[in-house]
Amino acid sequence: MKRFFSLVKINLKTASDDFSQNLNFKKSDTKLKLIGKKLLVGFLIIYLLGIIAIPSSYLIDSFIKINQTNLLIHLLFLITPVVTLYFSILSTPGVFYFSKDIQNYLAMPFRSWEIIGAKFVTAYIHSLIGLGFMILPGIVIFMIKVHPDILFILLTFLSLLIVPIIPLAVSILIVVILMRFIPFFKNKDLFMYLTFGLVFIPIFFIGISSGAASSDPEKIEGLMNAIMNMDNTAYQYFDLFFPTSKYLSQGIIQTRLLPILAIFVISLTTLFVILYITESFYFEGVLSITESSSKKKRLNRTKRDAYLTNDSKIINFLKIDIKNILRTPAFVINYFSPIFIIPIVGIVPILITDMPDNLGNIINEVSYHFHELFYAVSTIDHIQIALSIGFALGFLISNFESSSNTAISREGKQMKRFLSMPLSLTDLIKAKALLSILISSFLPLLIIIAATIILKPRIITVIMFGIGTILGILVVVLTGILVDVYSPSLSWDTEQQAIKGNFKQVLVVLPFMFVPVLLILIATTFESWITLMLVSIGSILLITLLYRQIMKLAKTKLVETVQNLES
Amino acid sequence: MELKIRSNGCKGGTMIKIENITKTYNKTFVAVDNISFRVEPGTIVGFIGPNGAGKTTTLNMITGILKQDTGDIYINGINTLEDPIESKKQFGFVPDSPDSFLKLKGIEYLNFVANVYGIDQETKIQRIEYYTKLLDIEDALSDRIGSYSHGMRQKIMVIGTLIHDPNILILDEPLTGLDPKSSFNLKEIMKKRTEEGKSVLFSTHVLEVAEKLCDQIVIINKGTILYQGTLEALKAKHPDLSLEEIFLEVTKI
Repeated sequence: MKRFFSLVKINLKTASDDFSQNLNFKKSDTKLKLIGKKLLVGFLIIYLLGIIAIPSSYLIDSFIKINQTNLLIHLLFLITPVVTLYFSILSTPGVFYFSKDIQNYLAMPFRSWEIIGAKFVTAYIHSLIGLGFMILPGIVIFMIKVHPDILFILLTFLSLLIVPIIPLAVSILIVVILMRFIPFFKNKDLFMYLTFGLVFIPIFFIGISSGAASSDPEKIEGLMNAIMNMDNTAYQYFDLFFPTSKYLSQGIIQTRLLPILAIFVISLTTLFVILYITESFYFEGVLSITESSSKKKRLNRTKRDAYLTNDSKIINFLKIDIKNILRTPAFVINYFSPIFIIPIVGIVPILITDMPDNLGNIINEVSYHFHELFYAVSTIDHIQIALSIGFALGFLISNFESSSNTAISREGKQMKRFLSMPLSLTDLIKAKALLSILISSFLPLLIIIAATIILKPRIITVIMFGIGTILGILVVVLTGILVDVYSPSLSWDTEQQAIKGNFKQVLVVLPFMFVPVLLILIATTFESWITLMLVSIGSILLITLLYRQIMKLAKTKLVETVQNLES
Repeated sequence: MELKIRSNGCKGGTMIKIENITKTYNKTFVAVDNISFRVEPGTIVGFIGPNGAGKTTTLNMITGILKQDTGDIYINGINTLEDPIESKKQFGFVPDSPDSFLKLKGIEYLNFVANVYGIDQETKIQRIEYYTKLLDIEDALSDRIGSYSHGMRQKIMVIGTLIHDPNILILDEPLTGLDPKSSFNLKEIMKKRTEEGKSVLFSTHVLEVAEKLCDQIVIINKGTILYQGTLEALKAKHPDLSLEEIFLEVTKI
C-alpha cells in the first residue's frame, strides 16, 4: 500500500507543479512580486467563485419561495454525474494513456493494480476538486439559507464523495475499450477529436431529450400540483440519468443513511469490477500508444512542389500557425468549439420543436422589430444603430474564443527557435492577430449573410454593421494579444496547459464582462445613440494604442521573456 | 546529384568573434565567465566540455536565443546586438533538442524555413532534393515531425539549416542520435563547406569526432575557456596521455 500511495502522491504532485507553473510563480520573483501575484490569484478565485455564487443565490431564493428546496438537491445529483462523465471522458486519456509517466512506471517494480488504481485515485481527486469548485459555493449558500439539520449536511457531503465514482469508472471502461479494440483511436490527436464529438453530441442530446421527457403529460401534471401545493415533492417528477444518483438524492432528502451506504458499496463494487476487467486491456493498449502516426510514403514531385510556396513573412507565419492549431485538438476544441456550439445550441432546439412555426415566428418577430427600429429613425441614427450593434456583436463573439489571449503561449518553448532565425517577432504577432480576427469574424459573417438574406437591409446598414463588428473584434483580439505578449505561459508540457492553466485569460474577460452593462448604462442615461457611436469611434483610438503597445512589447519584453525561458 | 552552392556574402574576415562575454543566471550562477574566442573562415571548430560547462549557453548567446550580460559577439563582422536580424542571416543553427515544430510535416517545416530566409523557388527545390536524399529522409517528408525519431528530427533540423546555405553552421551536439551513414554524411558536409571558405562551430562530447574533424578546438569548463588551439598542439603538450586523459587533465579545475 505504501507504493500505491507514493504513486498517487507523485501523480498529484506532478499535476500541482503544472498548475503552479501556469500561475507563473517563479523562484526568482521578489517577495513583493510574489505577494502581488498571490493576491491577484486570490482575487481571481474569489471573482470566479462569485460568478458561481451570485446566480446560485438567486436560484436558491426562487426555490425557497416555492418551497421546493429538495428539488435543488435532486437537480444537483442530476447534473453532477453527467458533468463528471463529460469531463472524465475528456481527461481519462490524458491521465491513463498520454501521460509520459507510464513508461517509467512499467519499468519499476509496481504491481499492475497499483498503477491503474493510483491513476484512478488521481483522476478521482481531480474530479472532486473540479466539482468542488463548481458546486461548493452553491452548497454553502444552500446550507446558510435553508438551514438543514446536521445529518442532512453530512449526508450531502458523503454523497458528493460517492457520486463521481461510477461516472469515472464508466469513462475508464469506455476509453480502455476504445483504445484496446479500435486501433485508430491510439492516435492521440484523432482520439481527442473523436471523443470530443462522441462526448459533446450525446450530452447535448441528453439535454434536449430530458426536455422532451418532461413533456410527459402525467409528469407535468404531478409537477404542477407539487409546485401549487408547495409540498417540496417536485423532485419526484425528474428522472436522473444515473440511477445511483436517484438513491443518493433520496437518501439526503429523507435523511436516511442506509441507501447512501448501499450506493457506496455498489459504486465501489462497480469500480473494482471495471478496474479488474480493464486492467489487462489497459496494459495491452497503453504500450502501443502513439502521439501521431507516420505514413513513410514518398511524395511525388507534383505533391512535393505543391507544399513549396513562396509566401510573404506574415502569410508564412499564418500558415504554420493555422496548421499548428488545426493539428492540436486542445486548440481546436477551445478556439473553434464556441463557433460551432453557439449556432447548434441556438438553432437546433428551435428546429426540433415545431420547426416551421417557431422559425417562421422568430423571423417575423425579428423582421418586425428590425424594420421598426431602422425605418422609423433618421439616416444618421440608422448608421449609429448599425455601427453600435455590430460593435457589441463583434465584442461579444470574440470574447468566446481564446486564440488571441493564448497567441504566444501556444507556441511554448518553440519560441526560442524563432529567436535564432532572422525574423522579427512583430511579424509573428501580426500574423497571429490576423488569424484571431479571421476566427472571430466567422460567426458575425454568417450572421451578416443570414440577416442580409432574411431582413433585406439597406447596403449602408450592412457596411456600418460590418465596420462595427470589426472594431469590436479588434478591441478584444488586441487586448488578448497584449496580455499574452506581456506575460505568456510558455513552459508547458501539454497543449491543454497552455490554455486551461492560463489565468490571464480571465484578466481579459474580466473587465470586458462589464462593457455591455456600461453601454446599456450610457444609453439609458443619455438616451441617445450618438453616445454609443462615440464609444465605437473611441475604440479606434484604443485599437491604435493597443497595437502600438503590442509592437513595442514584441521588440522588448517578449524577446526578454523568451530569452529567460528555462529550457 | 551535385549541388551548386552559391556564395552568400562571406566577407572573408573572422566568421565569429566573441569578446569577453559573460552570462549569469538568477544573479548568482555564472554560466559563462568573460570568455573570448574566434572562428576563422574555412575552419571547423569543436566546442568541447563536460555537462554544464557552458557550451549550450555560449552557443545560445551567439545565436541570439540568450542575451549576454557583458561583451560583444560579431558574426561575419556584424554585431549581434546592434543588427540582430542581419547577423542571424549569416548562420544556421541546430539546437541540442530538435523538438520544435512537431505539428508540421517535414516538407512544411523546410518550406517555412526557406521562406524565412527568402530562398527562391528553384533553389529551394534543388536544395531540398539534394539534402533529403543525402541524409536519407525523403520518405518521411510528408509525415509530421512529431512522428519522427530523435535522429530523424535532428536530420530535418540540419536540412533546415543548410537550406539557406549559411556562411556559418552552428551545431549543438549534432551527431547525437544520427545513424552511422547520416553521421558520416553530415561530417562530409561540414568538411565540404570549409573547403568553400565557410565555417562550422559545433559542440560535442565525443573526443574522437573532434580529433577527426576539427581544425581547432575550444575546451570550456565551469564557464571558463581552458584551451583553444589545435588538438595536435594539445597532444604535444601531453605526449604520454590518451585523448581521454588529456581531456580529464585539462578540465580538472
